[in-house]
Amino acid sequence: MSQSLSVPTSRQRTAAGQAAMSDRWFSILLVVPAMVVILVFALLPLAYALDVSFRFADLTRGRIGDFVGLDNYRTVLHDKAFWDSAWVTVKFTLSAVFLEMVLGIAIAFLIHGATVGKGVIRSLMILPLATSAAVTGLFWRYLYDTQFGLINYFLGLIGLPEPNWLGDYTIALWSVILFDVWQWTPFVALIALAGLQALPKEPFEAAELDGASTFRILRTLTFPMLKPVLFLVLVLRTIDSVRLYDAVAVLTRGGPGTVTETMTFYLYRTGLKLFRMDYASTMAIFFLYAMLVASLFALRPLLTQFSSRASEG
Amino acid sequence: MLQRDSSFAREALRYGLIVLVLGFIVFPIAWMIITSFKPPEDVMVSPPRFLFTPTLENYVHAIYDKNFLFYIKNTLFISVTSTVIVIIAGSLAAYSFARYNVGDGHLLFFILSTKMFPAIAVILPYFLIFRDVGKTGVGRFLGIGLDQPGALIISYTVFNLPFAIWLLVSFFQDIPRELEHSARLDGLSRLQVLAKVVCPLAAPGIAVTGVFTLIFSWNEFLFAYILTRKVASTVTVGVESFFTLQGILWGPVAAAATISVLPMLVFVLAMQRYMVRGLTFGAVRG
Amino acid sequence: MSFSQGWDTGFRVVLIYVGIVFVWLGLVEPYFASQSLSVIVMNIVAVAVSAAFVVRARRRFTDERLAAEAEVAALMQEDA
Repeated sequence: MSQSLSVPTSRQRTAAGQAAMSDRWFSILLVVPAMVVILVFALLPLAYALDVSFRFADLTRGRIGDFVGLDNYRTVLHDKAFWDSAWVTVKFTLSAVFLEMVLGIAIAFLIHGATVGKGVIRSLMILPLATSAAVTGLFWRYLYDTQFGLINYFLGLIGLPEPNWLGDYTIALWSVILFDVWQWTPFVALIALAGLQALPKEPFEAAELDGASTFRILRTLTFPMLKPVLFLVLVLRTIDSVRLYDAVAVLTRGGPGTVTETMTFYLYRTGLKLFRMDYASTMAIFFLYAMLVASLFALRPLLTQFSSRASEG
Repeated sequence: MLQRDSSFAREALRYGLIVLVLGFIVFPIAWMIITSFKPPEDVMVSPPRFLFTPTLENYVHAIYDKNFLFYIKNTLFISVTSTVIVIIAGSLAAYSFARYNVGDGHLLFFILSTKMFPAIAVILPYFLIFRDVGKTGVGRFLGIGLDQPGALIISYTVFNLPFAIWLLVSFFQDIPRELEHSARLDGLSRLQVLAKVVCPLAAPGIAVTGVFTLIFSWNEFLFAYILTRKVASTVTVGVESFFTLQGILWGPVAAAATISVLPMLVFVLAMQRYMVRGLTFGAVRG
Repeated sequence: MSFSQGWDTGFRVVLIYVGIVFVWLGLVEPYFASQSLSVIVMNIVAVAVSAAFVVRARRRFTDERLAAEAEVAALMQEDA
């Protein structure tokens, strides 16, 4: 950490008056371009969505229509398909994030203990993260194929049942989860590994000298010290899982039926297939609201983590 | 003796498991690349064939019949333009956050929270706004509108800026302040300090951020899928165009997917050292 | 209340208000015969809850400040 040299100096400049003003304006000027981009192109569309959510907007019948008050909200709140899609999103997020965290942490420990070849292992682990879910996801359809797919071929070789991965109502969602786990477990593993390697050595040596059991060391030393990193990964993965769209779009298109239709996909279908922009915008507002509430609980601890670092730096 | 044996067994088990995990991770990508070299008659067979005479037929089909290089060209133009804008605006802002702490953390938090922002929530307004803007003269002139590169450049810039700013802040914080102070004492203006002292020092960090932004734009699907049809489609959408009435042509799909994934694989391998840092917005310095 | 406390409270109040609207429309409104009556009652409830939240937050902030000031005063006395 570099020392906080400029904090006292900037305070001295404040006392100096003239120079401080200029410092302040200079710093504000620097953020202006980025803030303009974010405010104009992120917040303006949001205001637009909010406006549409209070109107009648069936694009098959022309333009954005009249003000209808809270009617769209009533409709969406009583729409069973909406709640079904929300439930699919919850199921997907819980299972995928749980599997990724558990497997990722386990793999991190596995690699951490390895003596040779860590570099090679890490480079291979990175590969799925470089690929687009839309492209590799599409190719996974070929792997999942009941006729030509490699996965069922291998399952057949060892005498296991060969399920219809993407066509079966009961397992289609799990197939999407499996794909997500394939792509994102290395992410969790890499970051947990970085966290493990950054741990200080002394407390562990001391604990070992005291004869503490491995389990006890894990519970009282390793995990508490890893917690900030793991929490960060958990939040990042949860945000991404809730927004899942690409994998569903290329693997199942929400089917069979609607068993893999996540909230984002249902929103997309309502807005751009059925052209009910009003309902879709309302769902977008719900979605945003849920994210904001969640961010209150998830982002705060992260922010304190970040800002304590910023004030150190 | 006994202990040696058990530790050897443990190591063997460890590496066995690692190989298993790596196999699971690498295999889909490897199979994709292998499939791209298969002759058409060996692709759609059951059981899958492992031995075949490699051919470039799928690549020829993807590039000549499906004009896949067109998508590559589009993607390159869109993602590079957006990356340049992100890097310029992002570096300025990040420097200001790292050195002057503009907005006392509130602004930085706001920027992080836009990262939480579900893209799907703005995709409908984007669709409607770009549809209308595209019909006006200005929109046509600037290439902003549905199925125009400008629409995607804007979307990618907005959605990559928060990430870039966070990552860049962490890189700027690593630069010692003393150099800037002494440069200021030598009579350089703030802008000169930024251009002549800070930028060269931050160049590696800026490059890393740029590559990340490029990868994200290159791999983006949702905006590309909804805001483009034909003229401005990117690779992720281009691969989808191999769905035909006769079914999916898996050989050419594999070839196109390989072409579109390969550059990113190379980038990521070159950037390994910074992967963890980039993926956590600079929070974990791996 | 400082600016950042006010900002934070304001953000939470908006979330609470909107949350009440959503819950009301989804769960409570079906029990009302008239929609406009329901909307009026809903707004009254939402305003009341938000106001209560603001009052509580303000009280907490003043308490915190008083506690901090008392602590500082005690320290000063020790020094003197």
